[in-house]
Parts: sequence; structure tokens; C-alpha cells
Amino acid sequence: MKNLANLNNLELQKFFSSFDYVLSDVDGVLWNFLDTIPGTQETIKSLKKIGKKVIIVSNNTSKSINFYHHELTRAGFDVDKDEIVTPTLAIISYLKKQDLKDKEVFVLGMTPLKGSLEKAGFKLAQNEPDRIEESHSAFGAHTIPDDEKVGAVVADVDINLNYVNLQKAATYLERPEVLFVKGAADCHLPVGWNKSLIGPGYFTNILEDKTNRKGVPMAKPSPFLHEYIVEKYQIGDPSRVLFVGDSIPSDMGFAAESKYQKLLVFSGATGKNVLKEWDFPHEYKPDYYADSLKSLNDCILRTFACKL
Amino acid sequence: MRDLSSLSKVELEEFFSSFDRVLSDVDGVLWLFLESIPGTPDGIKAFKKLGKKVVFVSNNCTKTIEVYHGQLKKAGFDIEPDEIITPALAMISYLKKINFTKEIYVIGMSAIRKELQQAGFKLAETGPDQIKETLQDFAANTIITNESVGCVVADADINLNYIKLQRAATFLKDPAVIFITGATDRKLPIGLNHILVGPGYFHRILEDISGRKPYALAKPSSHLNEYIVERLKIEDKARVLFIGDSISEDMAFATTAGYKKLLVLSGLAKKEAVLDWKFPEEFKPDFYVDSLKTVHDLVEKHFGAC
Repeated sequence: MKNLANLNNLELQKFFSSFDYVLSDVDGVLWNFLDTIPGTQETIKSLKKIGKKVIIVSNNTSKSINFYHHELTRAGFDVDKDEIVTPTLAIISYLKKQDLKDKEVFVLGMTPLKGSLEKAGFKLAQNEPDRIEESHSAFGAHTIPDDEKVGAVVADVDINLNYVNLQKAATYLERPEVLFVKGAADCHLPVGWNKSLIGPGYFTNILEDKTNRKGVPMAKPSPFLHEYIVEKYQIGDPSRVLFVGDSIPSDMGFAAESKYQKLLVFSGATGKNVLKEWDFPHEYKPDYYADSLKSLNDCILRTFACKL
Repeated sequence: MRDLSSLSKVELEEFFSSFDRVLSDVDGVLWLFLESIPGTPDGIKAFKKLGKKVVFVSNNCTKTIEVYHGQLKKAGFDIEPDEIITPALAMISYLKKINFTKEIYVIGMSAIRKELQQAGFKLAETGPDQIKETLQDFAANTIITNESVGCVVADADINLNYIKLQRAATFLKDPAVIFITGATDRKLPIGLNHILVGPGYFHRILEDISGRKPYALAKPSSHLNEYIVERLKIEDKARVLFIGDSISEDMAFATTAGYKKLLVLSGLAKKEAVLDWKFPEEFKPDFYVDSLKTVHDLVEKHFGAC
């Protein structure tokens, strides 16, 4: 693990010629909640100036790509709409390959995900209501019937998730031919550093435990997301990709599985203490680390001063 | 473990004279949620004819004692309202003992709320059924501090949603806030053919996210038994027969309590579970029987009509 700031000029030149693509996480790398991390906008600009293809890869499915693009642009990040990837796109791509025919998709998820699925041509099954009558028969009536029109269940983050809809999803999944796809699946919500926020992973765990099935994961660190990215951007050699992230299990794990080069930044979920004692799988160790993405820009300026 | 119907008359006499009191589960023993089990009222009558005191012990707090009593009477069970015990009563007793006067945040349905309110407790606002899909709305509805809340009660709630659950988790961050649970089944049987996600899954989330173990007041928790022993003034636990259909809930409960155990096969547990015992050895019942109807038939056969 090398500190980016300590690389000499020769090492930096070698470093910059070792990759053509930069895949960057958002939360903890470009911004933290509502505040952008200083200098990161310049880094994106500089990377593009030196000819690197920049792709934003976020697990956040609660915003549409359009909205995400709008937010990023407003915050000063020079990215195009088709340079943003979230599990939503991978979910759509995967479902399209599965020949659902005219079967419906039952979604545990928010409006942006549902909207994107509909725009992509999928028919969404109706969700159950927010409140039902307090009786066993009402509960049964809203959760047990399966008219076999549903061909896939997509389980993603949903702040309006309720028991009835969760059980309905479980009911559909009792039929083995119904596809089971997972979007966001963290057990803790990455909102600030407040680890006591229940994440969508707890609910997808209930579905998996109850139905004895594993959902196909579409968020980092899933290989399905990697497959989607490689296909969309025609990446031939994954070692020519530099992945920048702040989370070890999510980002470094994803990059390790995908065989990308890894840059870990300490501007988000992870503190420098991990360098002293690495409590994670050995393969997750980043190739490089830095305080933030700004350090990458400092390196670019050092190496390409006259060319920018 | 012996099948009650295989006992000789002498052995049955011995069995029936080994206890004075019967504690019986309801769902799976007396009825199956929405359907009756034939002959079970006669089974209860048989115990009473033999002079046994009968009390029903159910984990189901989704009905008030009043409603439960009405339903049981209508189904033919000769029982008084004070012969029905649910975790709600144990919760009220516990909170009163510790002189609890703050507000209670309840994950539960109307019945348990009513019981707690009727007992004089103040309930905190639960949370909306639906909110706008923004981080701000989410935070405003879940990450709230409320100094008046001194207890979280987590029971079954078919209208449970993420917001209500997260709100409970937020309150539980304060170690001074008491954490009580009611029914914690992972499996919720509906009728004969369906098993749905039970409330236990959600309580487990609260335990995991808060890092706290609850003060459990439903079977198989021994705290429920503490309430029962006190309320019914049980002096000799060996003279109590506990009847249930769930091994992990009823048999476990009765084992910890030191009661005699009768497992009925009219509900959750099936014959296969008995013949191929995969549970802890100590949970094994002393006897098992098809249903309470069989108990009635045995009593009638050997000891005359009920």
C-alpha cells in the first residue's frame, strides 16, 4: 500500500500510464452528505484533461441518473449522464437479458428506481397499501394471493417499505421461476457516521432467510455490477482501471473482485487507522491510499504541469 | 416421550393425578387462527371435570383480553376473562412494579395499545404510514429525540414499516430507555398452508442495530413465567401441566419453568418432529397427543362421560 503523496516523479509517471479508466465512488469521495470535498471537482477535470475516461459508480439507487447528473453538475463535477453508473442500470440490463416476456416486476424500492424500470419498458406489479385493516384475514388477503403474473422481484432501498409489501415479495419468491434481484443491500445506511440507521440489507436478509433463496446482487461489490460496467464501457483489461473509493468492503472489495487497481481515500467512511492494523481480507488492500481525491490532482499537477 | 393415547388406564390415572393446574397455549391447541380444531372445547371440559384449574397462556397480543375472551366463549370454551394471560398483562405488571411513568413507544396493534392505555400508560406517537422520499423527511421522522419516551415495546404489527422500526431503533440508542418485546415468532402461520414472515425478524433487527437484548415477555421467556407464577400463586411447578403446539416456544418455555409438558400435534409441531427430534434434549415433552380432542376421548373412555 503506497501513499500517493509520497510517490516520486518516476513512480508517478508509471502510475499514470498504468490506467486508462478511473471509476470513482461518490459518497465519501466526491462529497459527504451535503458538502463537497475540496479539490475533488478539479481532480475530475484534470483526469479528463490527461485523457482518462472517468466513470462515477455509486450504490445510491434513491436518485435517478438524471437527478444524480444534475446534482453532480451543480456541485461542479464535469461528468456526462452516461458517465454515471448505479445498480439501477445494472438491474435493468440484467432483467432485459432474462426474457421476462410480459411478466411483471414487483419492486420494493423508491420512485426513481420504479420510474427507471418503467421507462426501460418493464411492467410493474401493484404494491400493497401503506395501511391495512388489523386482522389476520386482511393480512392474509394482502400477502398470500399470487396470480402468477409476477416474473421478478427487485428488492432495493425503500424508506416507505412496510411489512405487507415485504411479505408479498416473499410470497412471490416462493415460486422458484420468479427472479430475485437485489439493489442496495447494506445493513447500515451510509448517512453520516450514524451506524444506528437500519439499512435495506436487513430486509433483503429477511427475504433470503424466509425463502431460502439468494438474491442476485447488483450493487458494489457485486460481480454483476462489474460485468455491466465492463460491457457498457467496453473495458478490455480490468487492470487498466483505477478504482477510487472510501469503503473497504464495498469499494476495495468490489475493485479486488473485479481486478482493478485500487485507490483508497480517507475522506469518507474509513480512517487512517486501518493502515496500522488491516482487519479485512488481504486482497482488499489498496494499491494506493490518499487523504482525498484532491491528492490525485496534486499528483497530476506535479506530473503533467506543462501539459494542462 | 410417550403418545398419550398409548397409555394404559393405570398410567393415565397416574398422569392425571400428577398435576393440579393446566396452562394451555391457544393457537395451534384450541384453534388455528382462523379455523377451529374439532373437539378441543371438550378436551378443556375434560380437564375441568377432573378438577384441574385451566388458564390459557398465549403470545398473541393482537386482541384485547376482552375480545379474546369473547371469541373463546363463542367457540365453546368455558373460561373467565381472568383465566387468559398474554404478554400485554406481563408488560403492564412489570412497568407498574418499576413505577414507570414516562411514555411508551409501541410497535404493536390497537389491542396492545388499548391494554397499555387502559392500564394508565401514556403512548408516544408512532410514525406515519408514508413519507416523502427525501433524506430530510426520513431524518425528521426517524432520527428524533423525545425525552418523554422511557420505553420501547416491540410486539407484532401488521402495519409495521421501516420508519416506525427506525424510530424505535433511535429511541433505543439511549440505554436508559427500556426495551421490551412481545411475540417474537419468526414464523407466522396463517391457516394450515401458509407460513409468513413473523414479527421476530423485526425485533431481531432492533436487537442487532441497538446492540441490546430486550426484556422479553412472551414465551419462551422466563420473565413471562415469573409473572404467571406470581399471578396464579403457583407453589409447586411440578404440579403444573403445560400444553402447547410449538417446541421452540411452548416446550422451551415449560422446560425453563419446570412444568410438566404435553405437546399437541394439531398446530406447528408435526409427528415427524417428534420422531426425528432435532431440538435440545431437555425440551422433549413428557407426553404428546394428536390434539385436545384425543384427551377428551381418553378421559371419556377410561373415566366416563364429560
